[in-house]
Amino acid sequence: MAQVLIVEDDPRIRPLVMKALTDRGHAVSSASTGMAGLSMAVDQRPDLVVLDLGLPDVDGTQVLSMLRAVSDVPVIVATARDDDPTLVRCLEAGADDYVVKPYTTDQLAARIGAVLRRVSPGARAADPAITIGGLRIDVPGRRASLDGVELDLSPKEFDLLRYLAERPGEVVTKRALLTEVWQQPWGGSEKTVDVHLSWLRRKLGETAAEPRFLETVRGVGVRLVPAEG
Amino acid sequence: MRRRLIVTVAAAVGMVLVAMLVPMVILMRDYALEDRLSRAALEVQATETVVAAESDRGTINVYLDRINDGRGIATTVLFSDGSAIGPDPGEDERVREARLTGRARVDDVDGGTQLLIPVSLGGSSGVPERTPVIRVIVERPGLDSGLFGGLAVLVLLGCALLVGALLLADRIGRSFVGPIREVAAHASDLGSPGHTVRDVPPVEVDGPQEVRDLAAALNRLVARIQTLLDREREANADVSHRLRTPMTALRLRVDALDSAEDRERLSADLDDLQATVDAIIRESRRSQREGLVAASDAREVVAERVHFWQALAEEQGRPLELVDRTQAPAVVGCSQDDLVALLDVLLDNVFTHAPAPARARVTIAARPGGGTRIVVEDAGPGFPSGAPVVDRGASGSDSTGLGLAIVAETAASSGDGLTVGRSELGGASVTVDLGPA
Repeated sequence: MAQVLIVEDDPRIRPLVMKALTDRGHAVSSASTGMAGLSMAVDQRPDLVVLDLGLPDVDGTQVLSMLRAVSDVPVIVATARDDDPTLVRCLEAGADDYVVKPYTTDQLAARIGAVLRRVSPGARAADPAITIGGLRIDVPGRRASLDGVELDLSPKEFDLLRYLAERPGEVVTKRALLTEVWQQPWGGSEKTVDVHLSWLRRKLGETAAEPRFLETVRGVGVRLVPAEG
Repeated sequence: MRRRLIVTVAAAVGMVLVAMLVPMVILMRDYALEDRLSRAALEVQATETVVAAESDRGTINVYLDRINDGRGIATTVLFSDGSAIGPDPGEDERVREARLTGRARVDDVDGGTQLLIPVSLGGSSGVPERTPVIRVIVERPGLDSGLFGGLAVLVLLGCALLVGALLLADRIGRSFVGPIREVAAHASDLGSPGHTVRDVPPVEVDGPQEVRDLAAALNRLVARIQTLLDREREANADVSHRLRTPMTALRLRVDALDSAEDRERLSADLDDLQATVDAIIRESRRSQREGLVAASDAREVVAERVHFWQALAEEQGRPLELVDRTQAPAVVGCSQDDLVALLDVLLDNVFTHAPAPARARVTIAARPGGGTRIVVEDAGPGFPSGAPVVDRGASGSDSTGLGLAIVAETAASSGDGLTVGRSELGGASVTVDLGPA
């Protein structure tokens, strides 16, 4: 069980998120303004903060910057702004992840779980990079290498590889990839996932017929497994 | 404008010069003729004295040789016996008439003026029939006379005036045209594809007051456009926030429903609503994506997208061919983002609806009337007959949700729309006609 602080000004969303996360076993508190959220984050020391950007008193990115000055609590930015500059600014300001509105309860809960796993004491003590066989993924540095050779990945290819690497051996559906990696839970084409997987396979030096890391499970999805040999 | 000003000044100065120089030339010529006639009158008097003194013909001959020095005056003495001393001997009717009447006369002849002066000898020799006649032909002054120098001076003066006026006109023209060109270049930069009003600093010109006023008005207009764009951007962010926030609440409420059946049904409805909201937000951000003028190089974008999809094609064993029939960059009136989305939808449809290894081909070519044509075709089963393939969301479940409708909207807003049909490869063919930027 984690203690989660929701900083969200919308009175319709706030209780729904609180209830959904409470139902999933988290202890949830909330604030409706940026300054109140900042104060609660300092006082209550939550395990994770879900931060809306469009707050009535202070912009969420400023709240994030102020929060980072006094705390290293993991922050997931939840925002209606889906433009790249805003999202990049948030990540650079110290956000651990982001989710674009409208999101579902499952989506938010999955992201909270992933971030908490990443920042858990065990994970923090160890190498922050994900290593699967000869594949090493430096998540904070957004770099990946194979057998010591750095891979030239596009931002989306990196996100795709990282998402699969965080779930080694788990079959992930293309719809889940569209939802989590592309932030398109209700749109997008699975062929977009296919073509990115093709490029990823090329860069990992494998093919769909002769996979090394990326195994396609026909009709279900794809999974990342340690290379044999 | 500068050329027009120069031509106008040249025409005006030319007319003034012609109006001044032509009368001056005529005047100079008249003065020259009068000068000759005056000299001729003096010579006539002197010759008359010599002839009247009944000098012997040898004396008269020596005298005439001296005065006929070839300076435009030729003096001849015509005697009544038909003999003559001097150039151009021979009588005509006018000479005989002057002799018989005893009256001098002046006649215009070819090349000048002829003076006929009968010389009264007095006494027994004063019979009119025996009167000698002095004929003086004064040639009309020509260029070989002193007139040439005067004319040359006038022409040089005229040319100098003309050149001076043209240089002055050019200088004045530059002082007008330079600042106007700066303002025009500024306006052109504002309208250039890929530029936003923020990219172009305000124009500052140093020229006539009217041009400075024009530049200031343009700068105010640009500032106004910038303000409007900023407001639009803020409004768009607000629209996104105002639409997506209640959508989030709806999603969360649907997630909280106990009935799985209701949850699925409402989720499906929300999916449709979400697609519409996304389309509205996307459309409202068009000016932010495109700037003032939407433009992209279709040739470059097509090559890049075909290369991108080639990875999947090769994995599937599907030949994907790019046929480039353009000779140069094909700049179309469509933003790069929109063109990428358009091509991705078309290629996505190929990969979704034409089972591998059905081949696919993308052709880009210049349109005869301007613009660019892109054809995406495959060897798959083709479009089902009678299906409204261009309708929103009709492209199948495994698609972007907007399918060919996005393509149709993009093509319609930047060109002549799209047509679907059957390809010579055997499957579907989608032709998109994009207009030039």
